[in-house]
Amino acid sequence: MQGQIRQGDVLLIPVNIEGSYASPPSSLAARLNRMVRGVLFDGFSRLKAPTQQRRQEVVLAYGEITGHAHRLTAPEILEWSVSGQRYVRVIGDEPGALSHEDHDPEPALVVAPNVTYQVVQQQEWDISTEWDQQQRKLAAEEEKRRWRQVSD
Amino acid sequence: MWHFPNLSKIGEARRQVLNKLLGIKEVEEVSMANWKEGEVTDGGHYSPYGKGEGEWKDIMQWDHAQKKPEPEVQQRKSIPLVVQTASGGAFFGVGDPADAPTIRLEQCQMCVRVRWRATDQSLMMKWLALNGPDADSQVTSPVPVMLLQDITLVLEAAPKAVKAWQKAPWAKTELEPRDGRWVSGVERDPAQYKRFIEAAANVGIFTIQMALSIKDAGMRQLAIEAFGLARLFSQKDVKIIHQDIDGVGNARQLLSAFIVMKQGSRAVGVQIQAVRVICPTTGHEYYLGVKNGVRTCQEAVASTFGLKPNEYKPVRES
Repeated sequence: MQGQIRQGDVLLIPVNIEGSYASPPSSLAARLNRMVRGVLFDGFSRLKAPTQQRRQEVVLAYGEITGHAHRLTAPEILEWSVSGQRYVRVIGDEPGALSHEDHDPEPALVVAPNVTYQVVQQQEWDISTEWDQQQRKLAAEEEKRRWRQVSD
Repeated sequence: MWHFPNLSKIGEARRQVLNKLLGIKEVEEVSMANWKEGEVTDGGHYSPYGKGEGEWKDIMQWDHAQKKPEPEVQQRKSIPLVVQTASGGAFFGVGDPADAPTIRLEQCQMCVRVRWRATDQSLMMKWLALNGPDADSQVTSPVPVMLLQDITLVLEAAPKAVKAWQKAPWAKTELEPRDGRWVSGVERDPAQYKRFIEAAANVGIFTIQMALSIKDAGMRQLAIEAFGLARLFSQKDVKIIHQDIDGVGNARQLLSAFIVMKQGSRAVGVQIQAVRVICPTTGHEYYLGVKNGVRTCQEAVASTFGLKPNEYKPVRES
């Protein structure tokens, strides 16, 4: 399954990230290659390659209240972060299984192998922001009313 | 300041009809004069719904045989009461138990936590009526007047309990009613605070206006979370901006509510928006706050994942 996968408040978005980010640093040549490409195309910030973790299970999100977890399981999964953004990639020929106590009690084999997915957790807008904006607007109007033209 | 209807004006006849309809047993009026501090007698209970009386007798080993019930007092008086609501809230205040199924309590305090609360709810209520909250309990400051709904248990408070409630071991440093809203000076236990707000919202004494008017941003966010968008959008006159069917065939609605708040001498309105979605597997309904200006459900849901409307297209949803 190559498209976006949503499980509750977690969305997996396939992204086209190849090369050093999607494969483990296997050899010295690969590391040098990554360094050179990093300097040439992305500047020195890419010199520090993201730490990739090899796992068999990755918790994509954890429910603090329910204790339930969105889990991805496969014989081999790469997980890494770039600038706070999480990525996962199932290695091998078999798809990875997504499971959750409520949404997928039976693990669903839906995560395509050798595809890098961006892990996005759902957020919501804080409605009190609207109130704050209204307050600032009113305060600005009030401030404006207090100024008057100097008598000529 | 909240304004509540004067329930004391409910006529005796109407009350009796109401009690009959609701299957409520006539309560036994007992004078506070029978109470002695620290003593367990049969004078300290009220159970207008007939709940708990037998259990009360078993637990406290009352000797009903030795004491005859006092005759019904025609002129009811306000007495100190401990009240339990259907949502599990425990309140103390001065009121007339004849006001069931709602009750008006003056100088009302809420017990937010009792040390051994998890053990037994009915036993806890009886303990609160007999002994009051202990030093480890958390009790709010008194609110001048409060109308409680969905009453499940009303107990007369013993003098010892009255003293303990009035000590309010927690109130002075935690929550205080001020200008018609609760103000908290301590953020040491957000979970307790949220529970308190939720319980207060359940009995209708905490409004979204109160939540929005909390100056401290962190506490305000907690209060709004505890109040819940579902409660807000089910109570308010909401406007449906857009509705459609999602990828798995469930209805989605983009809703807008206009909240009017009094600020000084003028009324200020604020519009908020949320999208109502249904989980394809659990069937639960969720409300997610979205930015004002969002016009479609697709745009709203996509924005919650940081995407543009045309970028959000899941091939599998669960």
